[in-house]
Amino acid sequence: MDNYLNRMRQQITKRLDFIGRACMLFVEAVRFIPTLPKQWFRVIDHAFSMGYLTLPIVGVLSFFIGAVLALETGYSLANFAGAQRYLGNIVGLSMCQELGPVMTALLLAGRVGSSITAEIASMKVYQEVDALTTMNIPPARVLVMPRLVAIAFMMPILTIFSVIIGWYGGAVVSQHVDFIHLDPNIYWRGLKSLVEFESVWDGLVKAEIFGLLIVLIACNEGLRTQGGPREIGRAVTRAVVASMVAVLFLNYFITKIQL
Amino acid sequence: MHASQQNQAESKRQPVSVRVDQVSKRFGAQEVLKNVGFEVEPGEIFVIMGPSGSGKSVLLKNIIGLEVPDEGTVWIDQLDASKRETHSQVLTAMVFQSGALFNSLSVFDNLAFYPREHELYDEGTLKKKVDRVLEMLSLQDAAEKLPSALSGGMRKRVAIARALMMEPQLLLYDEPTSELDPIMAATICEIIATLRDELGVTSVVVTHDRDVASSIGDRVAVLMHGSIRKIDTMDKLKAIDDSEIKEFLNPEVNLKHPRFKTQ
Repeated sequence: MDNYLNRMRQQITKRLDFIGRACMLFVEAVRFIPTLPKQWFRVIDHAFSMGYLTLPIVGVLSFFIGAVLALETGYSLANFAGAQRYLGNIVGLSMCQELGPVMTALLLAGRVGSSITAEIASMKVYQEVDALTTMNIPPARVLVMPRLVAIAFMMPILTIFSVIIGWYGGAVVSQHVDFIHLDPNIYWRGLKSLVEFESVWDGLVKAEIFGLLIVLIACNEGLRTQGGPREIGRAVTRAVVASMVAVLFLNYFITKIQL
Repeated sequence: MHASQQNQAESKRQPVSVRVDQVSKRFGAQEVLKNVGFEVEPGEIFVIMGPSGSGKSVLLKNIIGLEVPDEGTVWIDQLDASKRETHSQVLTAMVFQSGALFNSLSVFDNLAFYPREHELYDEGTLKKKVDRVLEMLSLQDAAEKLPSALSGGMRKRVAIARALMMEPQLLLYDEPTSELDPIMAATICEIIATLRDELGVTSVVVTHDRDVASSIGDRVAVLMHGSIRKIDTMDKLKAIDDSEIKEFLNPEVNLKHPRFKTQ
């Protein structure tokens, strides 16, 4: 029993230590925002790899999420006469408030978070981070801050893209599947009637928080890596799992606040 | 460059002294350094020798401020080395065992990284400076190559070149000749000695290679089991009456396989 309690205490201490270090890293990175004009090339580079190169996969994912959502909902509503005309409302609101931001964030955790952790962890293991420190160049300045700024710019773009493509996915299914066969005008009219600027804004706020959180966790996990190449793989796994759990956990509370 | 800036730059390049004052460091239950103490004179090449796992690299990391001692202090010209401000007042650089080059940058960009980040020169001056350092270390042909395309010896030379771009007052070398053939090792030793003679850089070299210690060390410290056993010139150390140091400096390897039986 004591053993179990000790292990539990160690795990809790480890998690709290991780959160504390991540917060300190965030504060340290924010302190270097004034160096942004000198680092714009890094921000653009990261924005390209984290944002632009992620667009195609976000598009594919969002199209099918919108499509499946319309398909499942349309099938369920088929038994209720006339209920299918609310498909636009359902897909519209679900995509912009929940599915768009959350699915984009989960995809980002897998695609971008893993790559950031792998890159920084490998720099740590091969002493490149130590080299930076000996040059009096804090890693938070050149490795963390530009990535945070890049994701802050790109996350709203990715989310809006995801939401729009998801809406179109729903529209295509609503129009062409036999047991739904909804007039596109009704679909879009329904969508417009329920989706307001505030709904989209709430989704964007969520997405922004998720994006920053994912990059922060990925950078922190990378910078904490110690040992050999095997640790790089472990750090990546830890970062992706932690990001996904954090996104799902936070999503509940942010949604509750926004309601 | 204005005269005042030039004077400031010249004064910055003055070699510094290092005083390691009863430093202890442990990782978990393992005590890696035990009350280590010594002084390095300005402009001296001080070699720390010891078998693998004796704590040499950890000691070097304590001097450059990458690790903080659990007990004791490292002083660089009366400044505490564990404080970040110290390393902005005293220019210290380290040549890592692996080179620690930035793998995504070319050799030229690796060398230009420090001056660019600290905005020391305009691009024209920077190019001239990098070219001069590359020439000093016979690396002109490697300027556009990525570190992954370099041999072990070249990587070490690039690492030294990158450290030189900081115009350091104190230069630390972690196993600068490991994994190198004897000719390349001798070249690196020559570079270390030349840098001291021409630029007056205080150098601390960690190695387990007796030949390196003999050829470049003004004084040599023998570090064993985390403690300094003796500090002296290499010639005097070889004559010392300490069986463990003697065995380390003049090992008699008794291999059992018949193939290795001595003639």
